[in-house]
Amino acid sequence: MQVVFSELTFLYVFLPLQLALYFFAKDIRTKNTVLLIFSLVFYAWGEPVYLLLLLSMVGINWWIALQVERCRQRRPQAAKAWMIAACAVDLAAIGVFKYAGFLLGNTQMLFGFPAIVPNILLPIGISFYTFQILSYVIDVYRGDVPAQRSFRLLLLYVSLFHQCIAGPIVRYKDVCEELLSRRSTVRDVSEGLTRFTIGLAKKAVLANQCGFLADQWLGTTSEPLVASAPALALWLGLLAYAMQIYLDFSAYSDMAIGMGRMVGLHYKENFDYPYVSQSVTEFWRRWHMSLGSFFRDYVYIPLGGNRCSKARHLFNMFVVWFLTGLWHGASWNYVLWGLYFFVFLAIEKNVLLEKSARWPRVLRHVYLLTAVYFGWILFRFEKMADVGAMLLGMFGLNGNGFANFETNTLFTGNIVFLAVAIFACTPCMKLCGNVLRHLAVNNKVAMVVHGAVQIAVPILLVVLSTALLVGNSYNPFIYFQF
Amino acid sequence: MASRKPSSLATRNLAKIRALQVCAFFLAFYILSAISLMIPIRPKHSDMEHRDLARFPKLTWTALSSGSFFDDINLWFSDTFPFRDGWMTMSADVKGLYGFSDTNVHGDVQEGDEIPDGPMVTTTTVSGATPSQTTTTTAPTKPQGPSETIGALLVTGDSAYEYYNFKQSLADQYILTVNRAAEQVKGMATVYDVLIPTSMEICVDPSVRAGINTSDQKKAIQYMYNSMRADIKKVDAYAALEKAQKNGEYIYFRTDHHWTAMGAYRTYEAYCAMRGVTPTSLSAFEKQVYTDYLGSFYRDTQAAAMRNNPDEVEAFVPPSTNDMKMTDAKGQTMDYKIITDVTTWSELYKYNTFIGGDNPISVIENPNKTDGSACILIKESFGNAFAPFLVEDYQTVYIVDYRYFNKVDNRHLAQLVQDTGAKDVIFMNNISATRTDMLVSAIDSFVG
Repeated sequence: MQVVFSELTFLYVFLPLQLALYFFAKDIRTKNTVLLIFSLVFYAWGEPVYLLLLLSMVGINWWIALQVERCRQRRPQAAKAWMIAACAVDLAAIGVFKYAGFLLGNTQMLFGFPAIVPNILLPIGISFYTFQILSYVIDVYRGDVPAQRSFRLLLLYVSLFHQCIAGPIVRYKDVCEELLSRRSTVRDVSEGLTRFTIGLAKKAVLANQCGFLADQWLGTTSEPLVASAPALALWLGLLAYAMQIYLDFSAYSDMAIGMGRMVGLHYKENFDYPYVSQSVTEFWRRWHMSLGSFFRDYVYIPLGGNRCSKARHLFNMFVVWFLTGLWHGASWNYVLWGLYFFVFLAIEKNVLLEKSARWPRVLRHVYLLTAVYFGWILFRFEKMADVGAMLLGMFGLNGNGFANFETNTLFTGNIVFLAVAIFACTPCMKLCGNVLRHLAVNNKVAMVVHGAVQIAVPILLVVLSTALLVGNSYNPFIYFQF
Repeated sequence: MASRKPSSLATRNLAKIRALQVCAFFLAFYILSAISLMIPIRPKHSDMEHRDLARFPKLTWTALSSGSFFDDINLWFSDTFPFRDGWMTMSADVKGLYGFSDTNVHGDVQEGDEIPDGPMVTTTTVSGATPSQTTTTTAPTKPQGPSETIGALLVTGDSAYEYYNFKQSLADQYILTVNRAAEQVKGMATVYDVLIPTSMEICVDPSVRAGINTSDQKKAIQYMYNSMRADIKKVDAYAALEKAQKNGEYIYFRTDHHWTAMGAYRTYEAYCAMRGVTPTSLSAFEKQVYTDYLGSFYRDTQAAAMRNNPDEVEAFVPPSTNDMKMTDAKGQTMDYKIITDVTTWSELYKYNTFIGGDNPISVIENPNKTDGSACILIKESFGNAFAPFLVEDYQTVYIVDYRYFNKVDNRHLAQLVQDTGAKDVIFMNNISATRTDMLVSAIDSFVG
């Protein structure tokens, strides 16, 4: 298992050392070296062998991008060929390491070949860093950024531990200037550490417990209990799961953004409280935004986007959502999950958004939550049989009754927690913080309260997170299969 | 909200707060980091969890390239985190705030098998049961892993009860083992079997029990007893404990999976009834009380309610003697006390007042008896509280912990009976043992 941000070794050995060395370094070059070394160590910590893959990928793309830039002006065809070559290499890498098993499993089912499907271990973060590399090469081809002459700096961009493993998918053009020249002020460090500790607590306190509850009520992903669970367990379990994914994933983005901020790097937001959305369209503008924008800029728009016939537009959307689903996992249920949203988006674009504009807000919100809620069933269960069992069970059709003692006691024993978790999925806390800060500007008492909160909360969150992480072997990260 | 440009005072204050925040945070953060790196103060063993904690991994090339070296460092780092027990207590306290229910289920509840209505169907092979070696040359296999695993717990406030899931294959293996034992010692000794129900069965209201996923212990005990040979004496511990519970006696610990000495005494009375002798009166024993006991259930859950209302351990010292000879797992025989004064011991270990805890073999000689009578008690840890009551009934009491006996002695049951001249052989197990693979295998191996 990789070092993840919520591991104690990361928190108390890696990060303090990295920050200390970083701030003692005098010039940007040394600072970048510190970041680079720590990033490579971080990556190698869990899977030393795959570090070689990462280095090779960066090396190949670095060199090709230089060729692309060289050819761009006078031999655009050659530049295009180079770019396509780079894309081929990158997609081949992710194709082999992530999707070979899936592809071969399907051919085996259809054609009986091959006899044995190889089980290839997934290099950690490959889905994230491959997309970062792709975005770099394509942007160089498009002339949006100059190619990076220094292999070292490109490697830093791709491997930077903040986002290499779990996103956000940072575009090279968004950070290329900051890589060379940045400042971190007290304000940066302050806002960075606040963001980081919030993410840490979101993960260690909230997401982990949601994951635990989801596994208790639904059974683990490898051994689901859906066929034998009562209805209430399934509804609550799915709720816990829906919250786990959001809290887990957004926590990692929070920590990445926070740590970046501390060293003066500004990453774009990846989540904007998606569960407050009022349509699936809006949801996907608030959920995993870096992935959505990647597919928009590098698949949807090149295919024609919506500036084409209606049929073609629909096709473009279909491709994007097929790929979005597929990106999340090498299994048909993820593809179905993506296409599930495609259907909603198609309906919304053509009919529903207009109609729902006249609905009360609450109704729109309920519609969205219902759509997303049931969608998670496809995300959780790889076998369709389990999906079916889940649906039957939720509607009381599997003969297990509505509730049982264990389900009820687990629920009453976590009812406060669930309320807090739901609250954390909304922007209420952030709004309260903003209100307090606004008041503090003009009000002495508010200023004191604001100050006390600002100073005490990060420390409390770290202490709390540490307590919950010590001896807690339960520290899953769903998006780790990426 | 109208946004006004903040005054310069406000701006400066906000900046001051940020500076203070950064300083305070990094001070706390680096202090915690420094503490975590103080390797000498890292614990090696957890009293709370009753286990040795992870060790720093060995550096080998394979470990390095596969990444397992780093995984194990992660594990070591978090497992032996300084003041671990304190952090875990804090964690348990926080989790106590998550809901309103006093009652919760801790751990994974396992589904139990159907308990057959009739006795075991004797076919040549029972699925899952491993037939034991009949050759006496092979030493019994050593059990691996923790000796007593606790199943899921039903926790209500300051008390916990262990779920029981009947496992047909293991129950059958147990039956076959005890039957075989009776066959082997036929003519030499009488075999008694004592199956002890747990607090889940005796102390929890039947209506509550009906609504949760725990197997019927009464039926399970009946099944096993009915399947045993007629010449095996089956002690009805169930009835004795049920009666004691009705009388309001403190027969089970709330924070531990064991019974109390009082529960053991009531079963001793039932044992004597089976033997056809008068039990030694409880008043003949010297009573000791050790307060502040927190047992396995507390270790598992760290429930604050238990911490605030611990158990107490009553122990009864036999009038004839409080001395015994105990052989530990390293094979060293030493003098020990039947009931040890554990007043100053850690609250987690007070059950060890009984015969010095779990040891391969202990021998108690009653100086007031010369008739050569002897018994062998084959037990897991429940037997510890029971053993002292046998002292007045036999000249020699041999106490064999079947989980550890093979560490110091290769002999099987029949040989032991022959060597000791014991006339009574008592198998004593709490019912959870009959669904634990490792324990049933250990008895099987010991009988041989």
